[in-house]
Amino acid sequence: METSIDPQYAARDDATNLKHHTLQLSWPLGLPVIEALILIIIVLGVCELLARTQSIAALLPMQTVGSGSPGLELKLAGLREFVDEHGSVDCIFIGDSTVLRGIDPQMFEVAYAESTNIKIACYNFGVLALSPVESAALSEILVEKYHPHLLIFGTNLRDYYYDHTNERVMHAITDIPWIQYKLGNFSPVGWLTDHSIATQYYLGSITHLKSAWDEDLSKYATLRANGFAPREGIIRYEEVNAARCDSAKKAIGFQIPESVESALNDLVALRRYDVQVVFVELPLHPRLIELCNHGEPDYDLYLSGINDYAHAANVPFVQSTPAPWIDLDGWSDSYHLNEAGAEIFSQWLGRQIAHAITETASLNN
Amino acid sequence: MPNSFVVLLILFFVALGIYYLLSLRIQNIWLLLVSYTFYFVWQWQSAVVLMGLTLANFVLGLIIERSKRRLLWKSIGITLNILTLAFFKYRLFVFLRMLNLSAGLGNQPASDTLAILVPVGLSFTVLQTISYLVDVGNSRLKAERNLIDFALYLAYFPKLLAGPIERANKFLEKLRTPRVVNNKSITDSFTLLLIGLFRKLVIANLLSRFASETLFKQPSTFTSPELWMGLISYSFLIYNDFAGYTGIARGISGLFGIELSTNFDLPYFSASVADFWNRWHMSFSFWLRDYIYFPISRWLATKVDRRHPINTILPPLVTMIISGMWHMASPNMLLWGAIHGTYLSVRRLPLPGKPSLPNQRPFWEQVIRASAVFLLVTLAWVPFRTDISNSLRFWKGLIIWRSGPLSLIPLAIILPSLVLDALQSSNEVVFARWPHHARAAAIALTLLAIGLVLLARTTGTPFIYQGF
Repeated sequence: METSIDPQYAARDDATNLKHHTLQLSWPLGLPVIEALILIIIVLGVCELLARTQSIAALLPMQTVGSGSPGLELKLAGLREFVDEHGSVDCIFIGDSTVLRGIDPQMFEVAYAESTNIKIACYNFGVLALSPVESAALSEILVEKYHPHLLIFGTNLRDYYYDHTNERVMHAITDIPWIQYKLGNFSPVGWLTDHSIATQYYLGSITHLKSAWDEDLSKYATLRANGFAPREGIIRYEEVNAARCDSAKKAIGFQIPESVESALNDLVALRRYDVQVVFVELPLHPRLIELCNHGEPDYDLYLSGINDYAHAANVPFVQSTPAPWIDLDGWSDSYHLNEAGAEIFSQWLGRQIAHAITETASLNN
Repeated sequence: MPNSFVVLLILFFVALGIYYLLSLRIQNIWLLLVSYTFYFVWQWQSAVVLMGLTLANFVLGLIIERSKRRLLWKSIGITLNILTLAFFKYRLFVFLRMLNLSAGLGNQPASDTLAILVPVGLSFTVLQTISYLVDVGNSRLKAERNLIDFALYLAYFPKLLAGPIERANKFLEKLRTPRVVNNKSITDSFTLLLIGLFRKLVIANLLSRFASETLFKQPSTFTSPELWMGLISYSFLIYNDFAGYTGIARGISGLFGIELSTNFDLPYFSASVADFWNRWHMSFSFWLRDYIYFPISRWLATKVDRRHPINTILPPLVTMIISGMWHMASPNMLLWGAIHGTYLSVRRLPLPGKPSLPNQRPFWEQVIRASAVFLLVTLAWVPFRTDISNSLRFWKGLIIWRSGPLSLIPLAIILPSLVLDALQSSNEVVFARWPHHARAAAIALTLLAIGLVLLARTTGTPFIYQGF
């Protein structure tokens, strides 16, 4: 095989090799680009200034970090306001809708104060459909920013439904640049979102255009300043049916999925910030436990799984079932307490947590 | 914007800076090295396939040139390239059939078996190697004797992912010619790059919301106005996505002083479907014309009379079916090709009326013709996007009217595309000739628009044609 160089090529190359310069630029070059960049900086500066002007900001839609989750955006803004008003936050509840609907921080604070004589300020950071992975990531951001003394992770059987088949759902919120940036993975968009108010307003306006936004937002209509969003209505005992067992199927041969276990580990590891981490079982309607799978034996398997994990990790686990003290009229559906149920549960939880913390403290001493 | 993108950008400018310092012959070696590095980083297995193809075709070119049995060696070479493409690109098809068979025998295979590597840009590379072998075989081109240049012809990174499909004679000549990158070429390249990014990241990205996957997968759940608006959006989405990619590729290449072929020339302003194919994905259309259409026509002319209907219908039909199958070996792509083949065949049938040149027609007629061509092409995009059963449902939904609200937002996004087309109709880098301050304002506006869209949609979408 002959691979000699084309003589024509070689001649041309030799003739030009030493003399020819590919880059032949002359001044001025790129002035419009420099001018454009200056123009952009001016425009962005003006936008930032306007966004920070209160009278203008009042006309703008909600600030967001681009999560696409109205719940998360409301809670981030709500917690900011809560801390502005109270000076700090002592405890944060985090978890999915069962936490959002089931824990009233006000009732919890009262019961806790009665048991310990310590007055604390708590915020409910429950968000609809928040996965344990998302809870862990958000907890790290919140703990780092607000330094609460107590972080209460509310868990229920549905948390263990997440596995590799619904990986995307599990990471829906954690994948956004702002969360990643706050977790230490730098990105220009994450940085900009964190530092620029104009960007947050811009992301807010874009998010409002999403078709599901208003519908999702309406689910937080009852949201209070402490993050609690009670739900009205009562589900009758006979109305609870096995159709809602889908997410409860994980109780069969219960095992904590690998990704969820990793999230739980991340939650436990937050103790490095001097925060007391507590796991709490959010109860399910007793009728649902009876109907699903093999009933209580399966559910007990799930509880002992979490118990074993908590014991190994040396984290207090507050088990709430069986919970006969929650009246059957205290449920709005198979998974969620209504306002009356939440009131009873929150008071009970306040006492239990006070007890659990005292017990852990005495054990550690 | 991922960090890896920033790293890639820095590496690109470092590579470009070094390139400017080198002599012509070393520049080609450097470009080859950069191209393969890019390819290795992207998908190392693809780089290995490309190397194999390069060596095989380089040797085959030399053999064909020297052999007395050129036709035989040419056929062997073409077959080898087609088999490579078939093996990697269409293997899934074969695999699925085999899997169905084995499933029928109760032998359920693991789903991992389906994880088949399709080398990036292989379809485009194979078209270039085939044209090279055919041209050498027909003595239209001397076989390349410089392996570096030949390898660079196939691997040159700006055109690697999705073309343009360059012809060996023109491209290899460019590789032998000293390059000049001056103020004008830098300005033109950045203009192409910026317009390309705007088309892809702003227009195509925004339109993708209205031409969603659900629209094409479940057309029955949408109203007729939604289907029409979604389809029109898709029509402009695919155009801006691909034209945007080509602009970016040409702009990047321009910075290296190597001009790549034009791929689009206002296709949605065509006077006929044949005219559309002279303006849409031009490097591919011209390849099909030269290596499929003309040979079939010539061969048929030896068998039947030139004016025989077979000679009118068959060449465009076969050409467009092959075009469809090149995109993807699926029944819907076959249908897409057949539709375009039919359009072109009908166009070639003798029709009543006096033929006239497009620019001699009155303006109203030009508008009507362009609208009709746009409609025909747009309707044909349905099977390009979805399977046959959903295509039928989609067309049905367009015709059998189900009223509903009409969102005009897509039209507001399409408008900049039309404005860009109008401005680029005389000169594709027209902005580079604008007055200083106007250029600065245009650049600022474009960069801001790109930034805002990127911010709103932080996860990017791949170029549609990269998938082929």
